Amino acid sequence: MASAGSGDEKAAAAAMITLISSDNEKFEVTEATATLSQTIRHMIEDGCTDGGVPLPNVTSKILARVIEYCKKHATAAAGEEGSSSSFSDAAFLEVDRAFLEELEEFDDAFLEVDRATLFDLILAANYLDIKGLLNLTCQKVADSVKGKTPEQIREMYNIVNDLTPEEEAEIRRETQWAFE
Amino acid sequence: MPTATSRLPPRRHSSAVGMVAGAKVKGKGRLRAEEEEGQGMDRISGLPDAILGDIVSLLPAKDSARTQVLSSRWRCIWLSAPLNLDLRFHPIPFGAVTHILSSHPGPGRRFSTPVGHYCYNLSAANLDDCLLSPALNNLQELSFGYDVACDGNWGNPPPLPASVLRLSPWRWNWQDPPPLLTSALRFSRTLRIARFRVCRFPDEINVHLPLLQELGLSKVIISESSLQALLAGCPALQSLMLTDNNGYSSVHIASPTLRSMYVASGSRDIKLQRLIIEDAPCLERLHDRARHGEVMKILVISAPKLGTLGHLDDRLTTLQVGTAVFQGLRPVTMTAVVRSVKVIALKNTKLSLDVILNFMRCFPCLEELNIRTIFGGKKNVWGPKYRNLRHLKKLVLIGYEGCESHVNFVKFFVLKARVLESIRLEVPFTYIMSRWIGGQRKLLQFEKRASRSAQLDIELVRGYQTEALLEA
Repeated sequence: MASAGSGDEKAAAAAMITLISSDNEKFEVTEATATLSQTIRHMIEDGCTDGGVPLPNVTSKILARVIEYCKKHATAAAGEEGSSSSFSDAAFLEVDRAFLEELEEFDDAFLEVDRATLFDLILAANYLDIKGLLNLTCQKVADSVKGKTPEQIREMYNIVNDLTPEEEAEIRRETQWAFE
Repeated sequence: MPTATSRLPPRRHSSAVGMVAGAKVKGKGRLRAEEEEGQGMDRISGLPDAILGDIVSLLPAKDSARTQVLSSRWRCIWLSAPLNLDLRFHPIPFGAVTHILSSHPGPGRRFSTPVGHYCYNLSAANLDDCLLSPALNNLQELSFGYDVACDGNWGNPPPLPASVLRLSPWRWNWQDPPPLLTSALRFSRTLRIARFRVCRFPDEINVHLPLLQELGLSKVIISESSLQALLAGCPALQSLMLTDNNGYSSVHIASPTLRSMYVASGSRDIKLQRLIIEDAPCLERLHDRARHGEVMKILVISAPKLGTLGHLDDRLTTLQVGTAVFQGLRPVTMTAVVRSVKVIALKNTKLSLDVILNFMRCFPCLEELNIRTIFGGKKNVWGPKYRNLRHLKKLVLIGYEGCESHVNFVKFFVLKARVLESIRLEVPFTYIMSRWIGGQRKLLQFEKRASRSAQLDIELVRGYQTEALLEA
């Protein structure tokens, strides 16, 4: 897979796109990498990328991470990527195991960030419309709350419970099955 | 692999006006926000509704519903997010299922039918009601099957209640399952992933699944014409799994989008015997799992990107890729080569170096070879006329026993493969002295390896399974 990927990169080497972070740092990336972002893809299609693409919502620190993700996933496979659903059949996974293992390893390492960075990545993935990255980062948050009680989740994410005891009791009554 | 979510263009706006500060700060402000994070900032609640909805819909049903009680910000998220009701991996009692389906407005993200005792009180009519519920409108991922029927074949399950016995012809016999509910096909316009297990497809099927990227059929009964019609109705298909089905003897593939395919034949009268890849310009991985005693013919007419090929059986597979033809592992045509293939998994019952090298000659760009063997076979003595290998990077030998045949075989790769990166030997013994492993290293002359950077990994495999799936 890797060799096929580097071939793609060579082919796209001519078309470079400059991304400009909120703190004015410039990043030069291939079109193949940049177009994992649907937002940037649309800008390229509309011909609005001359002179660089300003990304006022993304800091250089986060943009560097986002580009790291896009580079890896752009060379790993064309098209859609990266769903780690609990829905999978074991046998089906076997098919793509070798192929996905490397990507999964990358994704796991990529997600070893502090919570603040994780939320910044989520917002950047949403703004840049990078489906795979958004799915990956949201899954990370979902995994962190799975099996936890509301009290544990509140503590973990500093969520202040502003429901009145009556309101909370009502919700618990309505969805009693979820608390059994 | 496709991502499961259909997503509208970027959603930059949150409907949560007055959300907790911090999510929108930039530059120096953001740095300050990061510092504050550790001191009690609630950043998760500041995420836009749609993202919170995504997070919630990635959770199992119970977890997702419980988020309503976190705070007023979270109260409405579960009901506004797409519904994830995966009863296969996260079962809940049927009473809760009906409650969810009646209270959630939809759309549906994922629905899978239950297995095991959770569906004992579930009749086909119940299941039909579930599938017809508006909460599942525009469903993206569906996994449908009467798996409870399967249990009878392998275990000794408790007796089924009367409601299930109404469907009883299939109770102990998954080879004759009940029909697929037509309500399961109502999601055809929106499905991205569909898995059907243990059910019977209608004979005349006419369905169009314009977004479907992943299709799996396992232990289903489907006629050849229905299967072809189904495949023809999936113009965006990327992954296809057909395992242990019955009702068709051949599959023809012509798909401009398919990237990986996994097939295994069924176990009854009409089972898969021929796989014909007519035109698959994107196909990268093709795996066949021939069962004991089942002959499989694979004909690849056009798949220029085919890079991974498995699981070839030395006695049972007839393979043709372009002009290269193989009976088992023996090339029938000596001149034809397949350059696209870089990874192969195969079974060579009696390990033979000559057979393997002859076979490899037809795949000049091969980088990874995964061999499963059972017997020692010949002594595999080789001499100076054997040429060096130029491309092979990885060799896996499953069933290595350290006999003369196996040692000579592996020694060839140690001494002749110049760019080898790793050799992995899986030993089918559960108990071996560490001295034995050291001895094998010496026997294999690993110190004299042609590729200095190569690694040797000898692993004892507990519960060794000869029919386990390939590792390629």
